[in-house]
Amino acid sequence: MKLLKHRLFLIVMSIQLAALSLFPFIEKADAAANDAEGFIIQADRVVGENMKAMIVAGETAGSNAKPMLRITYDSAQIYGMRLTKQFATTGGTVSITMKASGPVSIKGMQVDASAISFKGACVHAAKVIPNAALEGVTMVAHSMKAANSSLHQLKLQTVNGNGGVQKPGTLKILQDLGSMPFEKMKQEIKRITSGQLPLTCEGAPDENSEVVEDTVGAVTDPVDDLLDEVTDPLDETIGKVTDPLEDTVGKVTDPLEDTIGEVTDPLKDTIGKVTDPLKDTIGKVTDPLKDTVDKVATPVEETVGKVTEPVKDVVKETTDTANKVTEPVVEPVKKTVDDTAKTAREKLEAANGEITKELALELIDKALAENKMIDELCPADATLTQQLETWTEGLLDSLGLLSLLGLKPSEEEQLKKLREAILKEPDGSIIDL
Amino acid sequence: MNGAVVMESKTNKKVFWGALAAGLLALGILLVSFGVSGVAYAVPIAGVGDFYVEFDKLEGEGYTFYPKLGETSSSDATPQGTNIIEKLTIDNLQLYKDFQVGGEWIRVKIQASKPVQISGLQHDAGLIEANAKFQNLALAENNSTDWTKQFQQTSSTIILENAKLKTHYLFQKTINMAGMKLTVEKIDKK
Repeated sequence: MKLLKHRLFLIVMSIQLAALSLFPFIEKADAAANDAEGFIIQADRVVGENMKAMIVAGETAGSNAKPMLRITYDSAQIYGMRLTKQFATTGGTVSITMKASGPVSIKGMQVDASAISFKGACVHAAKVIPNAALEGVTMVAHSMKAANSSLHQLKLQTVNGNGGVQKPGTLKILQDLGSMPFEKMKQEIKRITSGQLPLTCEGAPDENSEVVEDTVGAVTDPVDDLLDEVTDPLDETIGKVTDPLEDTVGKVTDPLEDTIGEVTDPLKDTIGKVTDPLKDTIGKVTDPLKDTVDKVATPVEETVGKVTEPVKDVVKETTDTANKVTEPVVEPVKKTVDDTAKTAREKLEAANGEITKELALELIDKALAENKMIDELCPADATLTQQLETWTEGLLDSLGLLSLLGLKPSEEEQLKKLREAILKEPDGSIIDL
Repeated sequence: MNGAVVMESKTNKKVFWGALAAGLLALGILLVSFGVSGVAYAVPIAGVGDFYVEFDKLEGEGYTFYPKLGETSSSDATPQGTNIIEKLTIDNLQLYKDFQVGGEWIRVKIQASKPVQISGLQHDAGLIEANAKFQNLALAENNSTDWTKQFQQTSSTIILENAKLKTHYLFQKTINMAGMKLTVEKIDKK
């Protein structure tokens, strides 16, 4: 009996051990299947024109209809781009890595991604952003298309391992859609698109953290609009405040308490009306508001001394709030202005070797002003110098200004002739060989 | 330490030069066929381990890239990428492979001074370094149990400039290599 118990115990333990040994394989197989889906695109910065985000259902390595975020750009410049595709093979994970050390220029780009993370942006469905700049972008893409693309200093490698990248988490909105039946998912996608609902606003502090727009105009225009919105109700309010006050001044000597009551009540209502639009717009104005408030406060102080105190308090609170809220708005505007006032060197770097007529003229003017040749404009950057040297030589050669016998015109003459030749080209055209 | 035998390996120069001569003879026959027709058909370059391809510019049409595991001179299964280009022209093409003979390095190099025209290229590489331009580029995933079919990169045209490719296998349906030159030279390699 004891022997039988002993054998039974051994058999049970053996089965358990055998079963346990299967667990790691099962888990690994699942993990491999999930982790290998999608290719990871990372970028330090993406600057593009007419960015639009939509939700679509598309094919991936593990599904025929997976909800994904589709991002399109008319044109985009990607800096610090790295693309990694991981594969779960029988011999372990294998990766393809594509890294572009130089800038990547893409026209007509479309990316479908199931997971994405980037800094400081809130993207709404089907809403076009004319000039968008995203930073620290990481996405799990399943499809990418580009009508034209140029990748400078591309390094494509196939390696063992996962390529050393971590995937971002899936967007909640995509997770929710993924758990729905296909038909319901399609309806929901339609609803999100038609309603232009926010897509990437998880964890965003407020709805005003829109994608950073690059143009000064795009940022300052809404501020101008807000100024109008804020000053208009104030103008109306000044009338409302002063009118009852003027009426009341005559009666101040009589029952003072009653009069004060009559004056403060409309003031309270009016100040409420003033602060409401400020709250809605999350105040982006200081000076015009101060000026206007001063105009309101002055007649009140002159007319009824006691009445001005509550007015001052309320006005102070209003301006304080406005000051606080204005600070974060002023900063990005300043930054944007700085970005716009780029030097020729920065423009050249961003141009990615494709020098437009306007940039070429700017470079020639700069060279003439500094009494240098074009390839001497960026002495600190060997790559740009080399690029400019090749470009200048090519142009001079095509104009017949390079002579093997050394009988070539002076540098100033060469630049002037180049200028004349480039001026004949159509606006915006790429000046190339 | 007593009784320990120190084994020292040495390349048999007779065997090496014999093998190299046989290879060169085969290549000579290939060159003769070039000379006759100007075009070589179904040319594979494989079995010599990884070698390097360098060129100033490649312009091609009908490009496809997908991953695979392939054999190299040091491993049975190394991750590689297969590049397929239907039709292409290469300027200043150079193919070379470095061998260590005794303590010295020699480089066997094939280069073409004129543009090389190729059709039906299959090129397996572990590393590509170049400035690249694509038209109608598409990177796409497919739902497949075969991992080599799960990812594909295609483009209607491809331009590679100042390129260096670590190559494991090369096959061309037809190749027109005018101005070809084969050199064997000693190199300094650290």
